[in-house]
Amino acid sequence: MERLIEILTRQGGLLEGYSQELVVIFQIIFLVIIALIVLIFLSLYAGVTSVAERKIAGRMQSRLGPNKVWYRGLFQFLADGLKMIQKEDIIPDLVDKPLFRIAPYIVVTAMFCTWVAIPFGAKLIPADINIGIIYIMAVASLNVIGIIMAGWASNNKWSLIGGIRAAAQIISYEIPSALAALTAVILAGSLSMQDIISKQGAWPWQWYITHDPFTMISFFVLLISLLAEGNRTPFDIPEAESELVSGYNTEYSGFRFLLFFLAEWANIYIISAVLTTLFLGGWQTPWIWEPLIPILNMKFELIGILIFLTKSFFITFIVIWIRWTLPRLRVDQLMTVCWKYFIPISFFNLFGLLFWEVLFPESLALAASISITTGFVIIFMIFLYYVVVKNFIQMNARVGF
Amino acid sequence: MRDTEPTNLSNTEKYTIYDPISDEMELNMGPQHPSTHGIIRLVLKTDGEVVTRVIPDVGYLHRSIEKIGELGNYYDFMPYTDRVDYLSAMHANAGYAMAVEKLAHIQVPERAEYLRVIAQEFNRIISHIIAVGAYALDLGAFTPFVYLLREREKINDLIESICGARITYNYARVGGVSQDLPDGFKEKALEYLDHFDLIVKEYDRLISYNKLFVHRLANVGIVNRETAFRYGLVGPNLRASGINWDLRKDQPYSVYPKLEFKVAVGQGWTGTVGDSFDRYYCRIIEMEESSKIIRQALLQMPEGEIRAKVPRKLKPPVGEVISHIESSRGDLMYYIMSNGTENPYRIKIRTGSFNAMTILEELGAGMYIADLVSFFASLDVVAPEVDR
Amino acid sequence: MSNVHSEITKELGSVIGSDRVFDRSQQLLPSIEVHPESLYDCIAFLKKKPYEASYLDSINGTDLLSFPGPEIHRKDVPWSSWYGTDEKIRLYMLVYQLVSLEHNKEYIVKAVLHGNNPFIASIDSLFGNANWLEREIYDLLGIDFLNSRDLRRIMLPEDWEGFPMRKDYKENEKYWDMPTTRFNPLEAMKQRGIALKNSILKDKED
Repeated sequence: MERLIEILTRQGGLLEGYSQELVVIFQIIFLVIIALIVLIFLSLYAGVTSVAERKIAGRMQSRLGPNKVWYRGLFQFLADGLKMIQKEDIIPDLVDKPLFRIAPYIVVTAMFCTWVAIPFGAKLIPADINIGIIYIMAVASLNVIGIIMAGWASNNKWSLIGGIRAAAQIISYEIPSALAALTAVILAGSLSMQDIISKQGAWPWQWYITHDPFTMISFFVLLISLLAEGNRTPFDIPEAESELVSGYNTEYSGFRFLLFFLAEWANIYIISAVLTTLFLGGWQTPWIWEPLIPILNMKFELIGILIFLTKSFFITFIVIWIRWTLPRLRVDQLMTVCWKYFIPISFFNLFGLLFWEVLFPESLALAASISITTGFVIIFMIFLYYVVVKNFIQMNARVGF
Repeated sequence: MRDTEPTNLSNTEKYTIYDPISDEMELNMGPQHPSTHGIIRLVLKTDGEVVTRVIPDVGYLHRSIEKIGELGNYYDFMPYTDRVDYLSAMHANAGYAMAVEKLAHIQVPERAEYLRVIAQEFNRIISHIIAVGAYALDLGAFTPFVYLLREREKINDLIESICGARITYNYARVGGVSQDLPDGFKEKALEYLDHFDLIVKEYDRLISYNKLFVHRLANVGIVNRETAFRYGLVGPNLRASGINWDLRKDQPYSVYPKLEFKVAVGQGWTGTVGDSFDRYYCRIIEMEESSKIIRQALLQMPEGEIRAKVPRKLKPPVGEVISHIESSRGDLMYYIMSNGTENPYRIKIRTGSFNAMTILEELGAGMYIADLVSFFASLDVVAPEVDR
Repeated sequence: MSNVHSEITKELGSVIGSDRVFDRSQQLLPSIEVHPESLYDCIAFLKKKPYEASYLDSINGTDLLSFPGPEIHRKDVPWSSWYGTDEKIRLYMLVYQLVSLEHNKEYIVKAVLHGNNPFIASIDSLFGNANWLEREIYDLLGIDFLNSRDLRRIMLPEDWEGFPMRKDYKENEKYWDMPTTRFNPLEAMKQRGIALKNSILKDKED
């Protein structure tokens, strides 16, 4: 953004000669417009993810998902959104009214604040903060406050239990996620999101996931820890529990309920985007990336954005897939997994990575990456065969019903 | 979270001592459960996550079926037996018919016995489908429940072609059954059973080997032999504790002596004999065995009458009778007392779920709330059975 | 099965006293009948060898108010010596069923109680599920179980009055402002004297 201001205020630009205060006002207006664009994109993306989740869940359960709204049900989110907006705002009598009202907004705000540091393309990032990844982790954990508020203010013991469990869960899983993200940061040498992406390459053996086995383990640790941060199954103890009747969500209805779920679906995008940035190469495009393309050369930007969104959607699909397959963990099992398994694993990962960096010089890095990539692909093929292809063959051999 | 001290404490609440200073939290797993077990209220006293006391409060579904039975005659009671346990209605029907036949010395033709067995084993399959599926649903795995319901739909279609109803069958009559098999049923049923045998293995793979599922079930609610006897558990709950007792083998009735099948006894597949995984896995094995039984029954079934000649107004001699039948939830016992008139004098139904509920108070203390949910689901309690 | 009950009667008679045990093994439902005061000892006796009752299957309760027939003719039944032969004594019957898995047998013990406030010892301490079964009988029949660890109503609300399974039970008109019977249009029409035309029930009424 600074470059934009610089371009516009130098000789020949639009804002030449204007005083400092007007430039600042222009900056603020520009920032508000960007924030609105991001907000619109966030809402649309959360809506699309919700429809995608329901359709994928339906297909996994051998039924169609929603298929009535417009074209094959793909615009269900518009229908849901419009319905929820015009519902009556029911606030039960004995709740703590100020906290009850504010809680959903805090959750949405915390989640929205992380979107400003997520890159979309080479130059498209609302704010390229130089401590990008730490900022994202820190701000995303502010939604705990909203959840505890919702749980407490609902004047309902089940909601309270849900809120407390959420607090314990989210705070515990901060540690493995930060440590796992640290591996990518060490390799890149910088905390800024754009820097981390630009240090990776476009091909799979140039991404950080295949750099060495320790970052591959970090990828999976980070995936699971971010699932726990986002309250998704198998860690969705705070919410859609059959013993907690929807946990901290219980007393909410209408628009506030929608906001909680908007926050959850948008959080999936944050999970995907963070993973794509750190480990999967972000918006790096093969063959046509030139590092010195000026800001307004849009063609290459668009391809980069598409690649970023594709990789993110792949991880979103994995997150949705996991939700509809696995049962839930118990609270103490969740804590055991975090404190007894993930934290030691993350620490050993970190040390392993450091040793790898010291022991193996740069010339071997490419060979290591290629071998790890091919190993990964082979394992993936074996997995595909045994799990997917064999099931297909068995399914067709069965009596058709 | 009450504003004032309550003044009209009921007895249940008096037994849960209201102490505002203590750390214990009193939770209501209220009459409205987000699981499919029916309307049962459990008052939990918890210390954080750990439950210190479980006080079940049943009676929300008490419809006084036993008293209604004394109003009509012996044939009139058959639809009521459907509603005692709506998931294994065939067993309840057949149990009542057996009891009245014992009382009035009526001989049932063999084809009717085979038809009853086929209907009951289909019913056992769908009842265990719901038990296993709802168990997975309680633990958060949404998908297996939907797959299992798909199978239940197909079996419901088969049963609908026999007796015309999908849930409350009212199929057995005193002296036999009400309708014969339609044409083509045998081929359809055998074809479906071929498909079902493969599907059961698929569900087995989907759920039983899933690490998360196993960890939620293993060593939860361990019921050892003495506890199982002390609380009178029956059915798969009893067999999962390692006790080999199946009414179809040990006190055989109907045509079960002619059919070959195994009894599913718990072996501690995940460590301890008598934990929730054993109870769950015994049900899966029973589903497979039921499909074998149906195959044999379809092939062995003779031609003949489907209902014995029974008098229009049945007046059995004075006396009492007890009949046991192995339903999906255990031993369903009918006690009928007749005083020589058209109407029964006393009908008592003792269901397997009633005895299973008694064990909650003892074993529920000391568990986590999540474990209590898992344990309660593994007992496969159906609320109308408890209250009748 | 009937042999077992005769054996039990003999052995139990030697333990408790033969005037307290009655052999009913020749009926359609073979059983033994004991005096209610010795029921606890009887069940404890059945738990031991050589009978080894494993679990308590059920406890059934019946109100014998309107039970006619030679079965219960007051002269040749044991309780005529226990309670007298007055026709107006209120009688209740309890049937205990115990199952033994080792011997694959079912033992049935009956006890007949008398009076308007019947009571019997509770077998809570012998079997765990006796508590709920006894609570159900207390709830529906009003039989008091002494020394029970927790005797309160189970099916009906705690402040319900009356015991429904008794033969002479009449419910109250209202329970906490809710009427206990539903509006019956046929009764209403009869009370108003409106004749039924073209009705299936017409034959039944006449």
